[in-house]
Amino acid sequence: MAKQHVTTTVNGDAVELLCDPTQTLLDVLRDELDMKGTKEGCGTGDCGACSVVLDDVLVCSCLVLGVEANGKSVETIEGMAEGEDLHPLQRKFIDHIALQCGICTPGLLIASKALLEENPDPTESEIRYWLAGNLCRCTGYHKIIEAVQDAAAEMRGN
Amino acid sequence: MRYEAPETLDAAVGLLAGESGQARVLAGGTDVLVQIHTDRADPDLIVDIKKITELRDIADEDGAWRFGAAVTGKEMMDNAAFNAAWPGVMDGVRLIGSVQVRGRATVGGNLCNASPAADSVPPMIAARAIATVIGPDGRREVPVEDIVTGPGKTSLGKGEFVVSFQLPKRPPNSGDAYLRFTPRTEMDIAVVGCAVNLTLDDAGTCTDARVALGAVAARALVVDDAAKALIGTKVDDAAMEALAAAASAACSPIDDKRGTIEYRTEVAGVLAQRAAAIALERAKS
Amino acid sequence: MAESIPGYIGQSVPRREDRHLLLGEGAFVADMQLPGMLHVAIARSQFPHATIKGIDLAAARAAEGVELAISGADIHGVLPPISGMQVTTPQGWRDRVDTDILIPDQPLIPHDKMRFVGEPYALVVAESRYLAEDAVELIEADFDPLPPVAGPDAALADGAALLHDVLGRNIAAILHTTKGDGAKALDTAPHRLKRRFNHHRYAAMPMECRGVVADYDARRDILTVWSSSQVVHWVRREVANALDMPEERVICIAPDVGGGFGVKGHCYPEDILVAYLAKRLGRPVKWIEDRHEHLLNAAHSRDIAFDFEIGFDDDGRILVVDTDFVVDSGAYSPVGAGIAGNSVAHMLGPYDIPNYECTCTVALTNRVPNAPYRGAGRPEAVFAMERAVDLVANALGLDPAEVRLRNMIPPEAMPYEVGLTYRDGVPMVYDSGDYPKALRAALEELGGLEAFRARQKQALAEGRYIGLGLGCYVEGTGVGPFEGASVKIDPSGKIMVATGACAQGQGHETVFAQMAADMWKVPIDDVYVTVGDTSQVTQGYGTIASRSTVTASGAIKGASDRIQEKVFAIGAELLEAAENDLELRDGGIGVRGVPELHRTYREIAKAAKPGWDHQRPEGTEAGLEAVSYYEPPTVTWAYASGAAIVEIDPETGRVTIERLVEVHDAGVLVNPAMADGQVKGGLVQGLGGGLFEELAYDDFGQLTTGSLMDYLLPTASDVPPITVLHQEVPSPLNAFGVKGLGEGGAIAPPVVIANAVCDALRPFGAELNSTPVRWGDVAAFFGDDPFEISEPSPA
Repeated sequence: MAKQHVTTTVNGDAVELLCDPTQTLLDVLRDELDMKGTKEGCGTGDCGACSVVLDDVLVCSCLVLGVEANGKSVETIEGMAEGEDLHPLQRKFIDHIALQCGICTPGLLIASKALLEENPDPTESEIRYWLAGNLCRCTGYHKIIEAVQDAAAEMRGN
Repeated sequence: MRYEAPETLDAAVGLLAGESGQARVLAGGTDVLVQIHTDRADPDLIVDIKKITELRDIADEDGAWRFGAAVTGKEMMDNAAFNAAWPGVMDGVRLIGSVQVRGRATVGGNLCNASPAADSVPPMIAARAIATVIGPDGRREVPVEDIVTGPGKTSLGKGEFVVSFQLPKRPPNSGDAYLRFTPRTEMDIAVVGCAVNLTLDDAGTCTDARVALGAVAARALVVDDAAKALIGTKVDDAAMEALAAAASAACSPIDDKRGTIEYRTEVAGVLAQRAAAIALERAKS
Repeated sequence: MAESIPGYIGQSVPRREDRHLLLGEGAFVADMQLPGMLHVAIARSQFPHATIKGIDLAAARAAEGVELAISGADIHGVLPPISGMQVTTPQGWRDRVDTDILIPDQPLIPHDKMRFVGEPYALVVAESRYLAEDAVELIEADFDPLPPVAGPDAALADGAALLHDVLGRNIAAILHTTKGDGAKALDTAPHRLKRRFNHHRYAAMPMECRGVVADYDARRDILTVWSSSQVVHWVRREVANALDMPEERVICIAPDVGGGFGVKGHCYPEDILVAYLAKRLGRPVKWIEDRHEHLLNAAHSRDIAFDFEIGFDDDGRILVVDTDFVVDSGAYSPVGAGIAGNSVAHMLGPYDIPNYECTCTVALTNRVPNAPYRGAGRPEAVFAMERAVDLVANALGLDPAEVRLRNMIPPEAMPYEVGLTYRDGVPMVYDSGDYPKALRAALEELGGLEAFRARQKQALAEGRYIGLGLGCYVEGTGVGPFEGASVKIDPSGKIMVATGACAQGQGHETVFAQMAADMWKVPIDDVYVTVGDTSQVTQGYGTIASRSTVTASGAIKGASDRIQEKVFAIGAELLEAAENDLELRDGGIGVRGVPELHRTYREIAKAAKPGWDHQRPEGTEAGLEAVSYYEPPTVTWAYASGAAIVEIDPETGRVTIERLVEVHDAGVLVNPAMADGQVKGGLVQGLGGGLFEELAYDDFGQLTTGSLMDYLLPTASDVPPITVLHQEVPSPLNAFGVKGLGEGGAIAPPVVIANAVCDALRPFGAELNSTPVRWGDVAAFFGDDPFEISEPSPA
């Protein structure tokens, strides 16, 4: 299995690596780049734990081949906070106790951030449907929805 | 496994034709990669078709629409003009997977994966979409309903793949709609899906209709009797009754935990009526 | 008197667990990377029941990157099976409950036969997971299929194929319990009603699958096992036993764990196998379960069928419950008769029922082993009982709420002796609470019963079907046998706490810090908490059965009390005051009413040190540390009333939940916001189980739900508006008045929904006596014959 050369940008940093064509972007992030923040929940695109943004599009990184990231930019949970400063969504997740075990949380944060970039003022229903691809087994979602609404309000400057 | 991402149709055709082992076309990957990673597919060659321009375009051609087979669901959702023209097709596209899945999944892949429950297929069939297929023997045009032949099976020959879809120019007073029935609200596989596409004359009489059902047979069905139940009527209660009866009569579903044969058959009629009501509303507006 | 440090119990302080999880710095087992680490892939049976004829590992062993490949034959006689008695029961229970228990041992990898689809038959250790999986494909295994025992009926039939020849039957346990005289009460009851209720098979399905990493340090002879487990001390015990090592030389750590809900609440073969491989190969070894494996291999749950008869009088007073039920335990029974025992003990719920007759059979079948999942026998029993209560109401033309209120134990009857024995061997006594108040509050939250009935009538006139469903239950929480905690005052003055409780997202580190901060009157940040690490506390039990807040707090208090005796003695010495005049305050100890007479814990720790220049009084031993094992007197009883309003689409049967309410009592809430999150999370799991989630098998014994596209967890858009109201009736059984709340939420929703649907479909005489509530089953009621009140059969 010949490895292929991949040049990509991860959280703004240029990255070059050799990638087996069967490796998913999720495996590349976790195993080749040692970025373990992106989690695997199912490996089949059904749970959203591995959500990343690929060239401004929210995707499941388990459903992308690493070689497909060639020439593209990838945004992951590791790029969300600015140094010590948490992103508003991260802060609001703490305030609302929007996480319990936390394994789905990176995916939910990435998905929520993508939502607010597309729709800064989503209704509760819009948030619920947007996040339907991110399974959370602990919280029952209520506190997540509240946190996203609250973060959206803050980000709008309300 | 080799991965190739050709930039021209010719190159893609050449790669697929030249592969002696198993080759798979990769568009959104939301089915193919799952199959590979769950050991249900083990291709020697993956041909990523997303770098081929013709597969990524979405264009209004004098009122007819053409879109590439590798256009993602999200890209379609972001195209306001297409949404206005074919809201029923978009009903189906919007129901494919999650936001994440629609960021990658394509109508071409949804069709060629050949699941009887694919959500974009019934409305494409109802829309009389024509697929342009390319392969070692050149191009051919195939009605969408003739692509899938059974669960996981298509009429595409070795080395063939879908390039694009063409949707005909719509007469005025036309509307389409797709509804599906699932246990969950999102992220689910249709128990039944139904698409209705209809056209009215100025008096509000239905002059043309096409009805397609998903998940109630080995592949999506065109139900001519259901269309006939609407044509020539004002889509009144009597027509709706006949529509439901025809839709139910066309079903030959499987029996599983998601729905018994009787239930799927019954719901097919209900969804046909409800989809027709939405299509009617859209045709009038 | 100035109290500058706030009390933390009762405050919704932010979780200390969150920041690293939010940054993507969570350290789950799958995230671990050790130098030289090898990876395991496991070959799993595709047959539900088969004899192993031969397993050829030659090609796998020769494959690229493969370090080792073994089958059951290679470890047979080397590694013992996991004992069927992972969970022991006390003599007191066995004396009082008529039991016949024969729990089969579970081989780590069977060498002779396969007993469920998904059971391991071989494994490969290789340089990467990819290479290990490729090599697994090369294993040539030859099986002779046996007739599958596809369910309890098949298991118990005459001439059924035996799963475990050694048992001589397909039964792991039979339990029998009585209260009063069930037979006589049935004979004389004015009315009786008999039904079969079925609570189907579903599972915990945490978003993190299981995983194990192990590393053996040969020089120090220490084997460290990181497992995504709820019970690190059990895992340590089983690993030490299997590898014949002292328990102290096995360290088991549960790092960040991505949800458990019971499925990680016992030791699995992989825990031991990975530990064994690391020791044998001298390199770190990692096994991560993928989702498909999890569905096929990690414990399933529920799956109980009840034959249920209830006797009652004209007023709806329940006189007797008589039930025979069968648990489909799958191929093994890792937690023994625990689920069945819970069903037996919780059947009568919040009601004063004088007679009870219950026989339970735990059947062994060719399915995935059944182990506790959030509720563990309670959702099943509550489904049967609460459906039956509604049927009693229907039979008499009474409102289901009224029948419940007539039978509920009133608050003035507390503490209430149930007349049964809990599985800790202690006679059951409901210790505190106001059950009718909880039910009334739930109805009120939904706008009141009368208002709803008026609305329902109006809706029906419009051709709309709305219904109100109830589900009331009690839950024994904080069960023993014990929990351990270690507390130390560090030389820095900080309070170091470790317990055997393990966290899977509950927020234990925060909750225990709150409680310890109050015990020691220190700022919460001065408390350091370690959970899930056997090296930090010698004996522990773990986090199952809604027990950790109750039991770990007892252990932390026990250890703290012991240290505080020394702190007072030393404080008295340093402050030249009588111990009676001292109090803990402001991060140390001081003389009451004299602010300037105060010593910090740092100063006390310095005074307490061993060696030269200590300042201990005569007879006070050096050091400020203690270990304590809290053995709860018995369980403390949480309870709740759940209620929902649903609307049904008469054409499709789709059930839309308008609102779900639960009035829940977990005693004093240490962290109300976290408690609220726990109950809500549980409620949504209950909704999932009641409506969507199902582990289905086909006629050939194959699991047909092998992915999260088939096994449907609720998504954000499936969840209705939910209100949780907390009644805080303190438990009289522990120092903090706390009751457990981990499981409660998941108990009521399946029956609440079923009852609500039946209420909406009353005009059709609808009865839904099985879960899940399928839209198709609901739709089928429309068009049936009009409702006729069937006369209850006379006695």
